[in-house]
Amino acid sequence: MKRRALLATPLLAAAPATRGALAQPRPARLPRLGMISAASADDPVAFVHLRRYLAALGWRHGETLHIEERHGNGEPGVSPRLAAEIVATQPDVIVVTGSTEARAAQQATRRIPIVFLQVVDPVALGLVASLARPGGNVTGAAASGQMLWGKRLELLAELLPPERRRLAVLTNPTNPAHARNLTDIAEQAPRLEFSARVLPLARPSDMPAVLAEAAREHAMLVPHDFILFPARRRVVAFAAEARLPAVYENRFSPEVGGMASYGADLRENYRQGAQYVDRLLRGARVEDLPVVQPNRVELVINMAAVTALGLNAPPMLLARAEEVIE
Amino acid sequence: MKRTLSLAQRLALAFLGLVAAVLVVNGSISMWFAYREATEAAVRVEQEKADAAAERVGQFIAELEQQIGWTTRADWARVPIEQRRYDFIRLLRQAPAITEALFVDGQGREQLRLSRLEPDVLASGADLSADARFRGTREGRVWYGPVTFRRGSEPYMALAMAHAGRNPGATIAEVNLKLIWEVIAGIRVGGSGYAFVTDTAGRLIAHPDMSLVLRETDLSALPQVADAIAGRDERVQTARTLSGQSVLSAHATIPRLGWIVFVEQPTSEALAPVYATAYQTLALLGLGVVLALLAGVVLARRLTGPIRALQAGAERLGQGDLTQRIEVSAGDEIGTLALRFNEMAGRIQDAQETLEAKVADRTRELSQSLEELRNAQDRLLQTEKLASLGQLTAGIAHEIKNPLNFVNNFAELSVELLAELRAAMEQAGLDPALRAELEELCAMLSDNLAKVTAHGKRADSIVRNMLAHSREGGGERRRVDVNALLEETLGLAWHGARAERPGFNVTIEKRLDANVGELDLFPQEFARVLLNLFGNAFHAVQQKHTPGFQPHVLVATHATPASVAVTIRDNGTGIPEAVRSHIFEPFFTTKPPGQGTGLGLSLSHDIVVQQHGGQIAVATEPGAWTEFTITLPRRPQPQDRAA
Repeated sequence: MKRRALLATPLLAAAPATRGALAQPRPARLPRLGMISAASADDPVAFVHLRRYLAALGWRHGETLHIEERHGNGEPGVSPRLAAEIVATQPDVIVVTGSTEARAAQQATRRIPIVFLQVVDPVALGLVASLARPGGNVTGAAASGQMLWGKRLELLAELLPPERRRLAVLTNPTNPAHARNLTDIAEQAPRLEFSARVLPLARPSDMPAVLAEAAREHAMLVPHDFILFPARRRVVAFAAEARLPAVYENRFSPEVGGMASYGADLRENYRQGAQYVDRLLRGARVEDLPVVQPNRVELVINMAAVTALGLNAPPMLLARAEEVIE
Repeated sequence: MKRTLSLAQRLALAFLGLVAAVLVVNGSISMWFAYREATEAAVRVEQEKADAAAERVGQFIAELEQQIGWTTRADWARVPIEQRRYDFIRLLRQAPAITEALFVDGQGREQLRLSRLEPDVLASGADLSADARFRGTREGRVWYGPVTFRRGSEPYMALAMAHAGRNPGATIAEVNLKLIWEVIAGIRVGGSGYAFVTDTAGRLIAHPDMSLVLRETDLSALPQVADAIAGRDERVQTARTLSGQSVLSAHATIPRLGWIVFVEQPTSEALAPVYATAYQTLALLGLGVVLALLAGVVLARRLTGPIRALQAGAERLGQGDLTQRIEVSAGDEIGTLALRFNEMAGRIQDAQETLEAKVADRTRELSQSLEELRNAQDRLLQTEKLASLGQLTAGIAHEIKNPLNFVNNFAELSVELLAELRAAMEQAGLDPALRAELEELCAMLSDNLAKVTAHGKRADSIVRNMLAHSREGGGERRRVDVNALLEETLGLAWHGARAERPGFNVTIEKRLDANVGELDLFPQEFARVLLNLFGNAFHAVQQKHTPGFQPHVLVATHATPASVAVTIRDNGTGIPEAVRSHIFEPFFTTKPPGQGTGLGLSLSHDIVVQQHGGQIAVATEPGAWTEFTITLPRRPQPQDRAA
């Protein structure tokens, strides 16, 4: 009996492999992937990376996968419309690049699997019941399991002299993460004797006015947001021009001249998201895919920016940095 | 009805069965050994992989300990707080798995806390003296906390190390075990094998599929995990994964931590060499069976070809074709059998031919016997007829004899009375004329009486001859020299014939066999027979008047142990066909009336057959010759003459 069972296993083992191989060349109807981003179509960092990782997994648009994209271009309130459009294309999986889009997609469908990217603390946002067991049709890759504004404030505290403690906090009130960010900052700031001034930015056109306001403070906190992120070059350039030390959520900003960032490397986030899309396209169920978190959070310091701001990075800080951009 | 297979089919099947059986047995044994060997090899490999995996996971923790060890030096308690913080920062930089590092002094007060998620806390003085992590270091230098899942998802473990020196503090590290993934994912077991780690309760700590870990999967229900937790000796077993796939599972326990590292490889892959051997064996088996089939068919054909020839030959032989011979060139048993078969066929053919000849002989003999039997029957009929005729004749003669005696006696008496009449007439002195007339009448009476007497005597003679038929062995029976009797009666006959006809002449040839000797005979009766036959012979040659005819009579005897044959042959007129069947009947004669009574041969037949138990036969060629042959048995047949 045992031996017969052993003999039977090659066939069983071979079956999923063939199914996977067969699934790829299916010209009749390619698997469909819907992608929603509230950000601008001009700088689709998340989608570019996602497509690359998907291609590495064998999913190429037009060949093995049909991808439908929608962009909100930073305009508030368009995500539900985008989500409805994507759901109407009857995709097999929907990928969303943030909390705003995730909520909109979740409202639009309770059936089609939704994979979110770049979301911080999806449990608090109500996207999933728990990290281990999402419980609905939504799962994904979290940018972090919890808010890290305390660490970012600590970073500023190490760089700035004690008298410079006034902060400008840029925030998009239409982003569901907005309230959580503000709560965390409000909680952490007093410990390091910071005072925070919240500068709402509801639409891209508000940018000049908001930045002008920020320039009046000692430093600036820039969250990862569907308006702020595509405009990161502009924000970084403004900070440099205004000699405003700014801390960002991730390395994309220091890479273009931002002073420092503390947070997960989002490329890992995109890769994890691509893996979940892959598994869902191959038939996995959302309930089998817990929310995945980054393995690491990293401190990235742009030394040139620090120097340009006339600041000194203490050795303790540099020792902590995963990467120091000269 | 059971279908019977031909010999060729059975031979082929037997050969096939034998070869297949040998191949199957051989294949099974070699397959079994190969299976055992490959399984053991696979088990060994799995075991080694499990040990290596455990080693690597253990190494992961050991490296952490080593890095934490920097902060546990005896002099570390004396370095400034900033230096300690710097050391912790370095620790976090070097060990990405450590999410949080704490320094607790000897009194259990928190002196330093660095976290990747929270701002650093210096000299908080929080009382951790009751904390399990701190208390753990009081018992041993290194303490491993239980595995916990932060927010129900990411596995964490506290690792606390006591510092060196007096009243030592402790460094406590919160380790994100998710990073073991990099170790575990790097472990390759064959093509698709993998390793995973569980804690002592069977909860998954590390697995190449991170999502399983993040769901806080409890694997203690899997038999292999349960067995490993229970500490069973069997460290390798076939098992099933959560998804039901059959795997060869090995495990090794990481010392100190108590975690169990499992290495699993799909059985199909682990046992691939076994399958390869099995397929090879099966292929060889198939090939062998095909070859055996071909060889069996060829062999069976070659074996049964001669047998078929034999069978066909036997069939034709059975149908009667005795000239059939079987062409078998083989020198083996079948060849020998064919040879014997051919010999047998030859013998049967010979035997049949002999049999046919014998049947022909027997048939001939039988028809001869039948012919003889017919002749005997004819003779018997004739004899019976003649015997009854003879009796009739004797009866008639007996009835005639008395009146004839009266006639003869009174005729003789009348002659005497006539003489007395003449004498009386002399004395009476009668007229001469009357006397002359009376004398003339008397002379006429006397003549008549003489004729009555003469014919009466002849009639008496006939009657006596007729009576001879009824006589029983007239005279005495005694031993008689047949040849002497023959000579004697021949002389008598010859003189009788000369007396009757003085000019008669005949050449008599005698061929008497000296071996004849004496026979038990009635000599007078047998002499009568001989006289009769000689008389007939002499008469026959006298009747023949062809020019240049030389009368010739042959008398011959011939002795055999059982009988004596007497042959009398003349070259006279022969006996016509119409006459021959009647010659032994009474009163049948070819002589003119008065010259023969027609009783001679009848009487002779009676004497030879009835009295002496012999035979008398005649052979003749009309106008050429006649031959009578008397055959007498040496021992006289018992007299069974009916009354």
